[in-house]
Amino acid sequence: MQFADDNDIVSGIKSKDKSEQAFKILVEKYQKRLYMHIRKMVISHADTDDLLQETFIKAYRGIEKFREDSSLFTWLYRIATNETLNFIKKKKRSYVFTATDYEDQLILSLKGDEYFDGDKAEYKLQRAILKLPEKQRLVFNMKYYDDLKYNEISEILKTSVGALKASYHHAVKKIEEILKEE
Amino acid sequence: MLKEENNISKKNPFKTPKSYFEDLPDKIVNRIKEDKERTSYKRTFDIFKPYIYMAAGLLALAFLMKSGLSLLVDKEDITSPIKTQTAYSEDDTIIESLITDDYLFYTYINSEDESIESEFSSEELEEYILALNNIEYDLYFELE
Repeated sequence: MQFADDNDIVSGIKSKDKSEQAFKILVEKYQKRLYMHIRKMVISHADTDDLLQETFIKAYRGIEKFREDSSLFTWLYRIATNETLNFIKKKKRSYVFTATDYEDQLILSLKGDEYFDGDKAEYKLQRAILKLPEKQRLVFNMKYYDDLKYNEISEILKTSVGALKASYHHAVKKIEEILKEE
Repeated sequence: MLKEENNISKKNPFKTPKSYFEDLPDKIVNRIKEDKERTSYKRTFDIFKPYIYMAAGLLALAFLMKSGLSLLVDKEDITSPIKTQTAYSEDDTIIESLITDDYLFYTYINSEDESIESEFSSEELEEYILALNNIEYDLYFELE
């Protein structure tokens, strides 16, 4: 491969002649992980697709601002997380005057989602996760599904490791309680 | 703990449409290209925007000035020339009727006299003049 590591990819994007090629490599490399990160938060494939495209476009436009002392993956993850949280905030605002909450709507859409491939137990877990506050949901998904380390999550969410540990602990407790109740 | 207790796998339960990840890089690159074209067009427009606005402003000003001037000119056209012309035509008839040279006036008078003379006989005229004199005398005596 022409681009051996993330630094090569970033240099390639910044250069004029290899920019498009390097950017495609970057998308290919991180699209699946970022897709799943966003998808677990917004459930709908269409919304995830929009947010993922926006994430990569913002990354391309802001590549000059990327500082090479931090990890490219962490930087991309942070853009994706911000995009997702802003999207959820807007969605919640649009549900203020309706009878259902955005979270209830997410649970309903999960049930009828043609791109949800989980069994009954996985569906129950996803439904329990959707009942968590969004910050706890983020931390839980990043730790449980994406196997990120606390210091990586800390860099992405700009939160202290201690607070993250507490947040994850609360999330697990709540999920267990919800699952026991059912 | 969570996994063991509830028998839940850590497998990601979400799927994507077929060939979604194969097509995505090109899709994003095309979107960036489109955005760049739009931005460059917008940038070009932004560069010329002040000049376009200035030209539009000048055109509007010129139009307003032209409209204003034409209104003023029209006003003059409506009032002054017609008034002058009307005045001229009215005055003209008056002047034409009043300002006649002495010769014409004289002949006009004479012609009238002639017509009067032609209508009255010399005797009748004499009587008329005498009657006029008598009136003058009568008036004179009355005043005294």
